[in-house]
Amino acid sequence: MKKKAIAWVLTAVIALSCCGCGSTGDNAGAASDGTQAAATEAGGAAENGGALTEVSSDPSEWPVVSIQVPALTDLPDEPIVEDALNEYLVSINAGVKANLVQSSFGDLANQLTLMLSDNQNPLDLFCWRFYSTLDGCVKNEQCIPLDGYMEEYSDMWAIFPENVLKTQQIGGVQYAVPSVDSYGTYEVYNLQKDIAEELGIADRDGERITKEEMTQIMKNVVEKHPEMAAMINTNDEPFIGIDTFGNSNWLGVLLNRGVGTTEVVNLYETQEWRDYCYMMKDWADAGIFIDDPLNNELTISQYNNGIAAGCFLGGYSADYIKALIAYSPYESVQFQLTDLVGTSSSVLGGWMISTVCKNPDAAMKMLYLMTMDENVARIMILGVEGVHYTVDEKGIARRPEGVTQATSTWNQDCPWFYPNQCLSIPLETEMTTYYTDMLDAPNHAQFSEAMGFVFDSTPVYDQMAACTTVVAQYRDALLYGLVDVDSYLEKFNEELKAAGIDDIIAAEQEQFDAWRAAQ
Amino acid sequence: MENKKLLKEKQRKQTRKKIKKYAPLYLCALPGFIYLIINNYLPMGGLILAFKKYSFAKGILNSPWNGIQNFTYLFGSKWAGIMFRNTILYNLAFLFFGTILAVFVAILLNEVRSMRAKKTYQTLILLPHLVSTVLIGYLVYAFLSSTNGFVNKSMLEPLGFAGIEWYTEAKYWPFIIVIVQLWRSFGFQSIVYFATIIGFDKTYYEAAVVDGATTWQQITKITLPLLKPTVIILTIMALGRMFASDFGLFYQVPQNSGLLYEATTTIDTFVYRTLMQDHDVGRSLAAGFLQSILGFCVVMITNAMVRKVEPDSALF
Repeated sequence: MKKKAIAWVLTAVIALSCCGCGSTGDNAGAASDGTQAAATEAGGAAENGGALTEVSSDPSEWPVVSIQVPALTDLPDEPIVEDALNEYLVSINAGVKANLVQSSFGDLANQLTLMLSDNQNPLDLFCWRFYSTLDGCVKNEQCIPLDGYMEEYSDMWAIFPENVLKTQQIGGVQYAVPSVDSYGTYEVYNLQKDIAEELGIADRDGERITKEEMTQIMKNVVEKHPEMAAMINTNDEPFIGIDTFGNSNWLGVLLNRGVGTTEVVNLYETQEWRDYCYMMKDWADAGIFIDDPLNNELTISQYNNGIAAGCFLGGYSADYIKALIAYSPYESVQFQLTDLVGTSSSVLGGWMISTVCKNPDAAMKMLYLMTMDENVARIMILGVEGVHYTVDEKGIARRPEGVTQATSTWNQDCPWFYPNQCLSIPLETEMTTYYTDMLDAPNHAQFSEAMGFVFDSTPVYDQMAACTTVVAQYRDALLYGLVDVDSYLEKFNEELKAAGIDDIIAAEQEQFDAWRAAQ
Repeated sequence: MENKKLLKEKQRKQTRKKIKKYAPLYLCALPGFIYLIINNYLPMGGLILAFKKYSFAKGILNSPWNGIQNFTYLFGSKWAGIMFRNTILYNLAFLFFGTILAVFVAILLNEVRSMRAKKTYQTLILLPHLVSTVLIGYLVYAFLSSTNGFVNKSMLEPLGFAGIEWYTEAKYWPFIIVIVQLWRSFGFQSIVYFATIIGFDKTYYEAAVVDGATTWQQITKITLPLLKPTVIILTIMALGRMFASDFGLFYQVPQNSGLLYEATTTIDTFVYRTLMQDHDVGRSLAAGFLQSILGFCVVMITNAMVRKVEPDSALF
């Protein structure tokens, strides 16, 4: 009897497990069907021009597109903003409505991975920034191609320079709408103004300095203020002078930020990197870094909290950088370190339609409106006028009396996350040309030879994964001068070789050469 | 034939009677049972992804099969050896030292006569078990910070030794992790053993005292032999988790420092890093799949061995 009972229990468990499999399967099947339908629709769109042709006169019948919105903390006013947005969409007979989905930066990896595989409540529009890369999303089949929408929305694609659009293509296929930005930055050393005054260098604000001069300034800072650090993070691609093809592990780069060079090199083997590591060791020995850099948060908050007197900042103009840091409790001066250059990593985000999206045409229409319609962009970026902000006589958005960045009930601090921040108006700054100058910046920038090139890592997938782990193991210790440079660099390079970095670089060079030949 | 039928009928009646009698108990167990099925058995369907190249677009069942490629990648990298070595050796160390310490503390607790002192000690030793691993990570950092840590500033430097960069030297971490784990877990384990000890028949001890046995003799001749079945059961259960590791202990406590990976990479942290960096579900599951299969095998083998040596102590 006992055996029989056990047998029954086991049978029930297995049966239930199978039901689970079945139901997962059904879902997966549904997901697949949905995706296939989506793909077919997208394909159909490619043939038909991708128009959302028939718009019902009853807005309640319009498709609802769920859109990722960035959240630093919980956004209690999300329903208010969503209602305002939908009210506007109805007023222009848009044919689509929006469902705003908050995604917290702190939990982006988990949240988005789940949402992008959820066929029941699909996330239709998302941005790969901070979550993954264009290459990663395409490889995991998390987004659909947008080529079918080129003709219908040609006015939208036309606002982007060609090399910018190409940063969101793989194998010539457009997968994302790039976020409008300056597409080029230069780097400055930002230092608290009162400390600069103490050192007698405040009047050099805006001056261009060399790495050696910068090192000396920082040494002087920590000599005067041993309780403070003079630098936060050294993970700074423009300062190192590399174009990384968007790979944060720097597995194959162009030196000189890709300006005038087409040779892909293993950075970690170069003399430039060795010299940089020696410099970092020198900085560490001089006490320039914050204590225990590997165990501490290395963000701008260390500057704002007065733990570090200075930090790297990047932007397209001196005024823009000043506006960027205007919220800090410390006034600052900046010393320019590099030229204004656009690299393959200068396009920091791209908006995609997910593969679980059930109505890609509607999603594309919404993405078009987010990129081209001033009101849609402004509602998403700043919230509701009169509730979350007012506009002063200079055309600058001001938060309501008593409301700060921390107490605002809508996230107004990530305009750069959206497809077109330049449709919005500047917030809490005196720089009225904040966005107009941004649009003009590419006219003054130099560009990397690789601007527009995206490396497809599929052929060297295993090597990339293995090298990524090696980089995670060694690089930070070298970047913060915590170890002996010669011995660690040797070990680091040995392991990278064993993990296959040469294969990666060969593949990058081959694809890059083919891409250049096709231009 | 007739007799057999009658016997079966009788047994059936008895079972029905039993079910009726124990119905409230079965009902009590039902939520736990359902939880077990939902949480532990249903997700097993997903294990097929270890043999597939997961596509977010195609879902679980429709993603293409890729044979054992996810496994070959795992064994092609140097991390396979490191993570299995670390996971097994750390678990063996936790099991060996943890059991000795827990039994030792349980026996000490049993010797404490004052009830108030006994309760105070029990509460105090249980506290670390209740502290979040993230907090433990910061406690450890307070000790080991190279610039302001207690060990460097208040112990090594006053004694004339140079401070140590704890978070960049992997060689210290096998000891640090074992110490932290023992500190954290010994309280709970010793209370489990102590609960067993206080259940022992007191007459054994009374008889031993009458016969002139010393306290040491009482411990070695009565307490330890009686404790043996509990130790065996807990050991078998621990062996089942031989291929699992506490993620927080190996990720939060060393603060995910890259230079410590050789000493702190276990199957769980490897899976996490692979999934977080590449969103590669297939490869992560390949490691998880191996972890489950090996854990299952170890339990079966250990239990079979125990059943041969001491059948009464076997788990099943």
